[in-house]
Amino acid sequence: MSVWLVVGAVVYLAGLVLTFSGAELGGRVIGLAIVSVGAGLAVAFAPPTRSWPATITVALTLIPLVVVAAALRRRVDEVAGERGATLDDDAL
Amino acid sequence: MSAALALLVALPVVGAALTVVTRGPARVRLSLLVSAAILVAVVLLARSLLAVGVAHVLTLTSPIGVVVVLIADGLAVSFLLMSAVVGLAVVGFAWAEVRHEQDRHHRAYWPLLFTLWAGVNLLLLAGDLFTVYLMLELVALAGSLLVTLRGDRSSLLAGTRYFYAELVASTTMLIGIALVWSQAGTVVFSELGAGLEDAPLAGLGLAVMTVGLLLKAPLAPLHFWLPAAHTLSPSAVSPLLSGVMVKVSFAVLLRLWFLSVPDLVTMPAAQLIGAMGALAILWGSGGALLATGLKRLVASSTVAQVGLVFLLVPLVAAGSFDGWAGGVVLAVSHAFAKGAMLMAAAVLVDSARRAGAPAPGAGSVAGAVDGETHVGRGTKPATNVRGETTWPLLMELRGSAARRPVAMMAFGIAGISLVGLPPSGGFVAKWYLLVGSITTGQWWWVIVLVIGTLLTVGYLMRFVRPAFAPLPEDERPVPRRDARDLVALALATSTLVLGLVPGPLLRLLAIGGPHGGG
Repeated sequence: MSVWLVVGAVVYLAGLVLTFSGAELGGRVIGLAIVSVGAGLAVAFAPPTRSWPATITVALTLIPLVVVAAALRRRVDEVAGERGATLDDDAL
Repeated sequence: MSAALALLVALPVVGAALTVVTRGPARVRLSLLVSAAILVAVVLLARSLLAVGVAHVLTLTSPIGVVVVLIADGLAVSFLLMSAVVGLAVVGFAWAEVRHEQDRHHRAYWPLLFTLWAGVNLLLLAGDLFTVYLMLELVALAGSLLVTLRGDRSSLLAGTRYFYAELVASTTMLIGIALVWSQAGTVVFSELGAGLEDAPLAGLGLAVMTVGLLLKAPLAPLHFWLPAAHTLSPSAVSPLLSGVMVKVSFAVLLRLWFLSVPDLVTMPAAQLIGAMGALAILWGSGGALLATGLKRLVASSTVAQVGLVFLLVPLVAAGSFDGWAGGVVLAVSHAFAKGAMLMAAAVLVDSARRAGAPAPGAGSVAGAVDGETHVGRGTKPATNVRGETTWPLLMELRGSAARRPVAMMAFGIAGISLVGLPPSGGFVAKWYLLVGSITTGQWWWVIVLVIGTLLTVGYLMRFVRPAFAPLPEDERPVPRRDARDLVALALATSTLVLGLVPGPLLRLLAIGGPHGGG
């Protein structure tokens, strides 16, 4: 098993902790980005023979998803600002 | 059969593309046409599978070396039928909503709907973990964006939480795939069993993937995102979420555990999943019993019903085909029933609001309008200080049966299936689960099924009783119906069809089923 798979798993777990402990949506987006990097690293170095198509495909899916997560967070902030109220940010 | 597979992938993609460039009634008619074509394609696939009697595997290799494997077996086709029927009903309901109120839907609704559908079809047919992962991402993205389409604060937050939960689940799944891939050297379902034999981290990889998929399913206690997402999504979206999307992860789990690596599924692990199912039944039923709004009641019910479906795991692990049949038939029946129930609920809530439901009592989230609290008929819909429309409470839906008898009938038939009364599909499913529990000596699941059934009756009666409550002479409404009521009734009736004619579905499930089929 590649050491990078272990590194990826550790990065993923760190991101997970940040995601669930984040008090605001912004912190959670950062956590999700770290989770995605960790998972991407793990799968990139997982196969016995490196698969560049798989690595690129995973990157091409994870990056837009993190961008969407950030965009949703921005939209939530905008709506909260329009209403003049603080969002109730329940635990994720 | 390959042509049918190609159609099932291509048609929703074509639908998504065409609904971007078309507008108005043409777009709605096109959507109906594509949805009907998808259902026809699934029926043709099911018929050819029954005629041949063995699963069909299609392997596609791209020039860059990426391999995609598609499997059409009983499991895949059963769930494809489920999604096709619910999908057609949802499109029909959306069409009826547009007829009822022009410009009802956000312009992104139709393309997102078909994108979701394409992802669901490919996910159910996927024969390798990579395709599963990619389609799970697509389905999660389309689904969460659909939840946010109402555009108000609550649905935006619910959709965001849903998306974040899905992203965590997908990346967890990816870690599990990485572990499995590193051990087995393959991601193809049919090769995993041999590849993971004696692999030291096989169990860990399977467990990590399971956690990711259970978060998507979602099985309690991992269901935190579901109630809000299903309650606050548009009425032409929530039937898809509750009916279809929670089942696709379940289907992937079944393929992984019982058709790919059955030797890795230990009895303690299977019993743990069953226990989580029992917890979900109690948790979801509790939420439904305490719900103050109808849509929230139905959404909490989904948590409980998902738990019921997972009771098949310990039964199949013990070698029971009855458990397999019962769990899958329950999943399909629930999709029809819950979809119909949510459509009926949307109609009943909308009708009550338009009729001017009495001002909410203490504890309601609705605030005063223009500094006064309005009571009686002709009241404006309640709004809160943020200007958002609030839902009528259960007590305010009194007399719904008199107001919308057809929608109430749809709700009632769907309720019969959820409870598990004959001649519904829910009855057939629970019968097989009971038989599976008894024949494998796991009598404790019989107790769980009975308790779950009684709780279902309890929370459904919370709405049914006030809905049928007699109204004073001067408040009796003129019964109304429109196309939305009829679509809900048609979908509800499909649970009765499933209950009266379960044979074809049961024969399908034996093709490529676990333990050599039934």
